[in-house]
Amino acid sequence: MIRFANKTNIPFTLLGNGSNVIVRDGGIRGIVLSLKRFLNVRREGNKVIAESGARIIDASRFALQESLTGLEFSCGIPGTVGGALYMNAGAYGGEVKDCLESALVVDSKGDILRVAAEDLNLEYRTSNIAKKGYIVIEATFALQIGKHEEIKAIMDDLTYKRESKQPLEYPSCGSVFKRPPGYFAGKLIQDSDLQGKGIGGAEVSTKHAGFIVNKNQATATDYISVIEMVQKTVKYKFNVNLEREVRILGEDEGVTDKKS
Amino acid sequence: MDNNQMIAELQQLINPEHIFIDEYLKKHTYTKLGGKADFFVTPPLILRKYKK
Ligand SMILES: Cc1cc2nc3c(=O)[nH]c(=O)nc-3n(C[C@H](O)[C@H](O)[C@H](O)COP(=O)(O)OP(=O)(O)OC[C@H]3O[C@@H](n4cnc5c(N)ncnc54)[C@H](O)[C@@H]3O)c2cc1C
Repeated sequence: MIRFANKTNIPFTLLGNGSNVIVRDGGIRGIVLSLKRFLNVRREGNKVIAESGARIIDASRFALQESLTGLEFSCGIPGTVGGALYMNAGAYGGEVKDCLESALVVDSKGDILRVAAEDLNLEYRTSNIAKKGYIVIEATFALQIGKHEEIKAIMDDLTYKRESKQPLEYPSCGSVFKRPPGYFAGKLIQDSDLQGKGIGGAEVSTKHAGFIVNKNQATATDYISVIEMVQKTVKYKFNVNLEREVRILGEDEGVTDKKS
Repeated sequence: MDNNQMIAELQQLINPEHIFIDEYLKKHTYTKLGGKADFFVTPPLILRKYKK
């Protein structure tokens, strides 16, 4: 596929579970590759090996079933394993970096190689996966033997926290902004009186200020306009730049002629 | 390369059942936002020969 895209110069975009991206209303030209059929999760010793299209939630549930500890933090993150590596996803004090041993990737030439976790430059909600042009095929998580009931208790607690604090009843992309050094994005947005404010069908969640929800058939343009409104207001009120965590892909409607 | 040629070439690589043309991406995003992908491709994993 990659060699084909390279040879033909066709734009090529990778999509996981689409839980950290906003696709503009004009869509995406060329090929969008989804690895959602790469679903296998297995155990080798104390390692969990998960294909990149499996949900990281399923990898954490598999670890629980096998009484392996280390992936509990990810039990409510709705992305795929590939997306979780790309973003170095994390929650409640844990992140992918803490337990990833290595990843099997396809590089920009179409060759398959194994990359050690330390060579992926996993940092707060970022990695070098895009820069290197890698497609993650499989991830190996090094875990420890634990007690089933203790692992389950942690996962239940994290699930309760998530369900009580996040507006999971509406479509969203989770926390839209990264944590600015020394602040919390949600608190800044809350203190800017932005909760419940919106444009079109998109609005800042009244339940969790860091989330922007698609409340009523929003367009991507509505959603992105709310992001910009939040960034401008927080900058004006607190002189803090909110950097987006979520990625924006594709083009606006009517930007290019549709292919013939 | 025109679209028909491209589809033909893609179908050589990937089972046509796994190629969707003009697929709305709002069906595949958590925000339920997004226009169409020219080609939305969901191949199965068939590469199992890599040696560690
Ligand atoms: C309700 C909700 C709660 C959330 N909570 C959290 C949280 O607690 N912590 C957190 O970190 N995030 C959270 N997120 C954000 C999101 O789930 C994570 O960032 C997740 O890791 C994204 O994975 P994805 O498969 O959805 O990736 P996508 O959104 O589909 O893609 C994200 C990026 O990863 C790239 N990518 C995807 N798959 C691969 C692959 N196989 N190889 C290379 N690149 C790839 C894509 O090209 C894209 O650039 C939340 C989102 C929602 C909607």
